[in-house]
Amino acid sequence: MIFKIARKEFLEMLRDGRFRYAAAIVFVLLAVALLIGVSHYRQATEQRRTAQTFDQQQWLQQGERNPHSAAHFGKYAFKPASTISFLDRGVNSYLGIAVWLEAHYQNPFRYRPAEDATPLHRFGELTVAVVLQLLLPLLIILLTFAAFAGEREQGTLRQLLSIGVKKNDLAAGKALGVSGALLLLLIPATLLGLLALSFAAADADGASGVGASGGRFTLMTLSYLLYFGAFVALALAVSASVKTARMALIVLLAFWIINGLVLPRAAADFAQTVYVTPSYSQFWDNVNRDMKEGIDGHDPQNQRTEEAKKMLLAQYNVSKVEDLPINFAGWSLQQGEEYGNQVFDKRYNELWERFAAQNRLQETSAALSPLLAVRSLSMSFAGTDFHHHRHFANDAETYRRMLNKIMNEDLMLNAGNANRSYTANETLWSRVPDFQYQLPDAAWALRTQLVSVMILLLWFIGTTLFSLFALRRMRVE
Amino acid sequence: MNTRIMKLDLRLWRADRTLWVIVMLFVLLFGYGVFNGARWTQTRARQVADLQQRADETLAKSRAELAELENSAKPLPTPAPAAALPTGKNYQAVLPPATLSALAIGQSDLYPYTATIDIYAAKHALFNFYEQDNPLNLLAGRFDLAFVLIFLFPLLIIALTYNLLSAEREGGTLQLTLAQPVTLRAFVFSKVTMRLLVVLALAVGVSLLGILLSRTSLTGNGTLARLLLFVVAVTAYALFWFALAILVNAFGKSSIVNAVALVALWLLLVVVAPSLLNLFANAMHPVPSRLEYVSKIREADNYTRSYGQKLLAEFYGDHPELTPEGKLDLNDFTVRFYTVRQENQRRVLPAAEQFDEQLGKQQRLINAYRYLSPAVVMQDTLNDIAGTSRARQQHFVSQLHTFVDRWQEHFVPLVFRKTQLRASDYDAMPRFQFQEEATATIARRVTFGLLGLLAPTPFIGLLAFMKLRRYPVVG
Repeated sequence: MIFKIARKEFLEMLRDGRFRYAAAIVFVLLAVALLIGVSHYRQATEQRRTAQTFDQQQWLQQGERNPHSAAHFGKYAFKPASTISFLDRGVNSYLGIAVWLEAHYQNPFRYRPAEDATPLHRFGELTVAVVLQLLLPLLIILLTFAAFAGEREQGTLRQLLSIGVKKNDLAAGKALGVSGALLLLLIPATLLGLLALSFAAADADGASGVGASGGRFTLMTLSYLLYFGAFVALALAVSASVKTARMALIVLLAFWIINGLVLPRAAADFAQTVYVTPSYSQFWDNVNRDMKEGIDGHDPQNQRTEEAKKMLLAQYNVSKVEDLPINFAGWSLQQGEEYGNQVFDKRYNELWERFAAQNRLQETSAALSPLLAVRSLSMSFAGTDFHHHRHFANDAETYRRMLNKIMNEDLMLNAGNANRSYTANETLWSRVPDFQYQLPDAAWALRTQLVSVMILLLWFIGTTLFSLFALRRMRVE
Repeated sequence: MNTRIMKLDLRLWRADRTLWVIVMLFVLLFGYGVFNGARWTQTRARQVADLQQRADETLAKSRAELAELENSAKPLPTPAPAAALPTGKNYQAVLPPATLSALAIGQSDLYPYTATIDIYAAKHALFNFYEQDNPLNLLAGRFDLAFVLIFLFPLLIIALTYNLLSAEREGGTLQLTLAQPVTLRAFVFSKVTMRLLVVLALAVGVSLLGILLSRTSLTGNGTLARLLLFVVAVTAYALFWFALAILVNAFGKSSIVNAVALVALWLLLVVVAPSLLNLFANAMHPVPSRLEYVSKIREADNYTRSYGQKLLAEFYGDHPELTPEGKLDLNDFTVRFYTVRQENQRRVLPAAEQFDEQLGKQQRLINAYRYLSPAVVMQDTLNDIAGTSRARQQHFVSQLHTFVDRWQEHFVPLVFRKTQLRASDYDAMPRFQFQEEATATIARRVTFGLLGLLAPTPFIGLLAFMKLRRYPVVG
């Protein structure tokens, strides 16, 4: 029975001009977004590879130089994009694309793409994610708003129920029919997406090939399916509860507008009210003060240096710095570096934890808007959210510290007393390996998204229960 | 225009409960938008005032210290105190929020608003430490008045006009009304005017009230002119949507079809078109690559580092504090360090300027696409009026560049000559004060936007009025 109903609904939708047009438009938009997304991704990857190679070359060919000067020249780390990021650009345009790994400073990332863009950019980029998050639910609403209310107005609902069709069967049939119509659109789109993914992965480095992205792609697909499922259930529920089809459409549209346009902004505002973003001048003031005055206000710089010097002299059992078997400047630079690292760890963690708290609050607001949940999941699986950025920033910072340590240790062990004239050459530079970054796997991403997963599941289950409940109370005429 | 029709329509309106709900909802939305905008402006103003105060206080403190030493008639201690040295001086230049930035937060949450200017300030890298904020908040955007006006205000208009004619026709009253000496066009015109007035009173009224309540000073230079431009912009935007609504009504379909059609148009123009345009415009006119830019900057840095090595001849170039005492004169080091930095700037600035030029060109091309969506034009216009546009940021940056020159002109000779400062020298030190763009310049830019908003309206209106001639008055 259910399949009979599903088939009837499916055929009816296919023959409906509105569905055909709407689905065609959505498909075209998806295809365009995929095409341009992949081409943009490949271009960006190529540019990044060139820049990284050139940077490594510059590092190795900087000639003879004092190691600490080389540490000040430093290296650049360029943020990679995961292969699957062409589906969802996430927050990447609002994050810097490159970070300067120099001595003494954990620099912020620079050159946010949004700053180079026009205000048009703030309206969003048409990615596959945007089409799936905003436009597809609209299509679902269009297909199902009249599911029960329309039948009731036409009088066919009474007839159906009078010939013994069970309400639940009818609902299941309609849900299946709608899903079938959607899959007719989604399956080719997914195949196209996989094709695009293989294109994108074609010239990616081995680690981010199709295989590695397969898990992320699957999880992303599942998230969207849950999201669509929740919308289908919700639309059916509203259609069953409300008197006229017109009312159902208005209610569903209002929900869509609040869900997709109003709540994301309201949630962001709310998060920023509860957890105020510290200003960047405040951040750097704190850092500078910590550096000068010691992390807790005890132990200012001079005192630190003095104590460290005394300890070192005692350790080597000498009375003068010149008698040390190691170069004092190298040693004290490394000490300064390690102290600075502590300061940066503390302050950056403070800042990023504040961002994380804001983001968690926004994720929790998904209880009011399923879009927030699926957006968070989509960005995470595409590797374009703040968690992934932080992961990269931490890796880059670890690399920076290693680079500085190698430079300072060379100075410390090999410079002797020849501070001014000691230079190193490519032998030392090549001891610093090229920065290799490994994108975390899908399981890692999933672990950061447990709240959103739960909320999305709750939405799916909740809307299904709501539709069952609405069915039971449904008025037949 | 028939005032009687308007009055009767208003009476019908007042009796309709749902319309009241919608109107109340929008009053809340507009109010919240202005409130949010005002709060943002106040926070920014406070941050800016704090920074400005500290900049001035630091200089004042040094001045006071020197004045005290001078007054005490004792000789200055050696080494001279920091206050007497021309080295180590800097100024925190700030960009205060524009008076009416409560209207549209625009791009002001994205761009840096302060820079530390000292003699080493690199014109291409003034904001290097200031590019951090929670990206998710930037992605979501802010719930300000501009958002309510651009995205939700058309929905209000649609809600009030989707059944302008169709309700009357479906109710059967249209035939009766038109049996009287009034043409369909005059009838439509009167109803539209009434709704237009109500909607504008709502939008403009609540916005202005919000501005007044946030204790914004209206006497400032150009503020009233900007408010006038704001009213014109809101009217232009409203007229566009009204014209669209009349056109859809003129096709003579049922109320629900009208509603769906108008919402579809809203979706297309406000939600889909901007992001689609963004995609196309960027594909057609890609902005120059920052990665290449970074590589160029690094080359210059690489070269001057070697050059600097020769010039400075010791790695203490980066760490004067590691120098054994008495060996290196700090002033001397500063001279040489400054020279190296200038050489670096000489090499980097052409590349930076070329990049900015290319970027500007591509942006202008991309910006041209905005006329294809009234939402984008409206956002641009509101940004200009509110003073939160990219143009104002660039104006700030160019003033910063001038200030860097002034600061260097003032301090570099003092440093090179190893002059010791006196308290009175502090009064001559340059201070940064942001100068707003001339209101005429803003007005000119905004006018282009307004023309862009108003351009399609007459055509749509004309088409609508032509269609009304064949309107099926009965069934």
